[in-house]
Amino acid sequence: MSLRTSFQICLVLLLSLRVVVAHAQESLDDLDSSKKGDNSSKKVSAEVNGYVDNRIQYAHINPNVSLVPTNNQPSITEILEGNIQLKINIGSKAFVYSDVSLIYQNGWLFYDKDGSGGRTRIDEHDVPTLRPTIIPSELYVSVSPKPWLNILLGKKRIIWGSGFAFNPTDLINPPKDPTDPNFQRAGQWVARIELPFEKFTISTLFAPQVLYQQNGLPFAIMKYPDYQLADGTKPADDSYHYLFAARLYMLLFNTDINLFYFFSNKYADSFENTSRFGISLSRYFFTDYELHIESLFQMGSGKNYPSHACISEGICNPQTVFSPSKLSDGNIYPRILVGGRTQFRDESTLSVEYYYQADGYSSLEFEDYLRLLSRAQMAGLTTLGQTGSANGAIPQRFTFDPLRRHYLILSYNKPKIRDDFSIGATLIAGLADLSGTFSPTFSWNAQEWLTLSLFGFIPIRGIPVGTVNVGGTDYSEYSLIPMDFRFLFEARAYY
Amino acid sequence: MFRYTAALALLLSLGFPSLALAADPTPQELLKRYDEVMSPRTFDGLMVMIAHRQDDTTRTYKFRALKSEDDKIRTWFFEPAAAKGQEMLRVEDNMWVYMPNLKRALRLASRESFQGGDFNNGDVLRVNYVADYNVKLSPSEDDKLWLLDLTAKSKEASYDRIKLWMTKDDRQPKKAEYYAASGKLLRSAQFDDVKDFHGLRRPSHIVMRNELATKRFSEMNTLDMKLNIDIPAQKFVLDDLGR
Repeated sequence: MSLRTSFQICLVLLLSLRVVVAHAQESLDDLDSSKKGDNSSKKVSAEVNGYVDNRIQYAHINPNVSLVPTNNQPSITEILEGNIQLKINIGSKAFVYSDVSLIYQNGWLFYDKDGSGGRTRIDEHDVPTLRPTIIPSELYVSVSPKPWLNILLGKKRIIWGSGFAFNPTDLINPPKDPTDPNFQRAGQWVARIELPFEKFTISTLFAPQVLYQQNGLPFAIMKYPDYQLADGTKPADDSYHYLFAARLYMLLFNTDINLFYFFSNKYADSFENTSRFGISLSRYFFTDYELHIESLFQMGSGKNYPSHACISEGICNPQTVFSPSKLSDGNIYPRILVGGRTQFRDESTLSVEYYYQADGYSSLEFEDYLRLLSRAQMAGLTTLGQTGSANGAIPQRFTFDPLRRHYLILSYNKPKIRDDFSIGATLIAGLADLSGTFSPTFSWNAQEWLTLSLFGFIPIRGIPVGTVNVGGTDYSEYSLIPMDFRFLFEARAYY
Repeated sequence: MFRYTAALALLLSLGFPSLALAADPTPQELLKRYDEVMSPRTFDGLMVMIAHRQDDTTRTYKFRALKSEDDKIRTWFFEPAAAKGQEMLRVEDNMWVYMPNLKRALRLASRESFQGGDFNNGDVLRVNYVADYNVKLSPSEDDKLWLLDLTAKSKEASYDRIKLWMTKDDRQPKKAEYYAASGKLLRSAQFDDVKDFHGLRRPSHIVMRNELATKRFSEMNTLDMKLNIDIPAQKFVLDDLGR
């Protein structure tokens, strides 16, 4: 059975489930009996919801503005997603939960440089990241044998920090798209023990890294297999890749306080047997102003840095040309996010966040990075500098993977500009060169179950402040996005 | 029999004048009664909010609300499908909403709109008027109603001032007006259809009008409410949201 046939069958199942779950509950007894099933002695019951979502996107690809290759970036992208969120209650103390998306996607209209400052269309071709796929964003079993004890096993998105658009202490999950909350669903495979008490909670988790997966299901976890894969992929190393995390949450003085400890070995970065610490605070002040701080403290940095010796003197070692050279330099590199959020009288919401990462590129490092990208492009290396969706996550429009040190993130949302219409915008600005992205949104809740949205995405690169000149062209951080603009229309029907 | 009753009445009016006055409750007692009726000590309730909008269409939200003895409240939304899985929690002056599409909880302010309707979060999650308001009795134009004048004790209260009318016969809330600090009328509420919920008589239907956008209003219907519920404290912990 092909994936497309499976997808169609699942869509029919989703729609038929809607009929099953749509019955009225007019009393608490109705509600409880429907949760327990018709036979009240039956201990297993199910709750279902989800959505069907169609996104069609047009991006005006401009290969000449960026050093990032565009040959695998389609101008038109279609993503059809069927999502089912199924919760199976097993008695009153355990449940199994799945949030699974079946995704059909495709892309058309690819462009590359034409060699004379313009662009030329290249042949349609296979792009692995645009193939249909199944994404289990969450898939776990949760057991609470005692009110103060919860054990969770499986894939779950666990967010502890208080940041709104971005969480510097989130070392667990795939990176998220700050310009679209709906695309922040995917979690990570974990085993978690949580002790919730009235005034505080203690959480500990172990997350083995998924190294290989097929349609969202892992087939190599924590350690690479000894053999190479059928497609020729060789094991990267023989290390164990994992993260251990502990967290203490307290509600003190009307403030959410989280203290974090992380210990990781080659988990999503190059840190080996390394401890990191974090803290987050969130509180309302003057009744209407939420303020939060989230910070991660680490010794050394797991970021990859370009080799200055290679760039300037041509002494290049392939192992160190772009490598985590500050991994064990003994310096502390804090990452701090400070922000606030408020709702105005007209129910519009404004969120302002400032993010500082001490291990971001300096101007010289950024210049080296650009020169390295330029050389990689000339050498035909297509992977360097490309960011995108994390493996096993719903396809994202944009991944916030900051290169430099200072950022400002503004989000504004105004609901009910006319009953069911709302507008919003997110601005992400790199303060070193005043480049950024501007993402306006217009949404219409056409029905209680149907939302139509139009998203824009416009890189801002035209402000000639702090830009870096490479090969006669001024580049800023967000001029690396190889498109002039992008629009996306989304229709989402809930059931 | 009549002679005996008349004698008793005479005795009461002559010998115990203070007893006749005691029939009039103090404003504090009325406010306490309001809290007991509208937010019992513990409850498990099933509610439906219908938001009527400017274009005459409606949006319906069905949710379950659980209140613990120490004035903590948690809600679960079942309808509409777009809000299914959302949860809200209040602990003391703190409120959170769990967004299933974000897989996380965000802090909320008491004065923010409840699900975009005309109730605010405090109207639903923070009904503890004795703790939040100073109260005095004002002259009422309707001799069947008490008029209470409430002023906020702190900025955490949902409104700066409330005028609350309660019936004299069974001491049920009848109507209310909610004001900003400037004196501007923000919302007005009508309480009706008093029903018996497992021994508690209370209005089952509240209409909240948005006085700033006069075509908008929201209805809150209590479908069911059970009292004296025993709930583990962990149900009112931030980390339990989404579970």
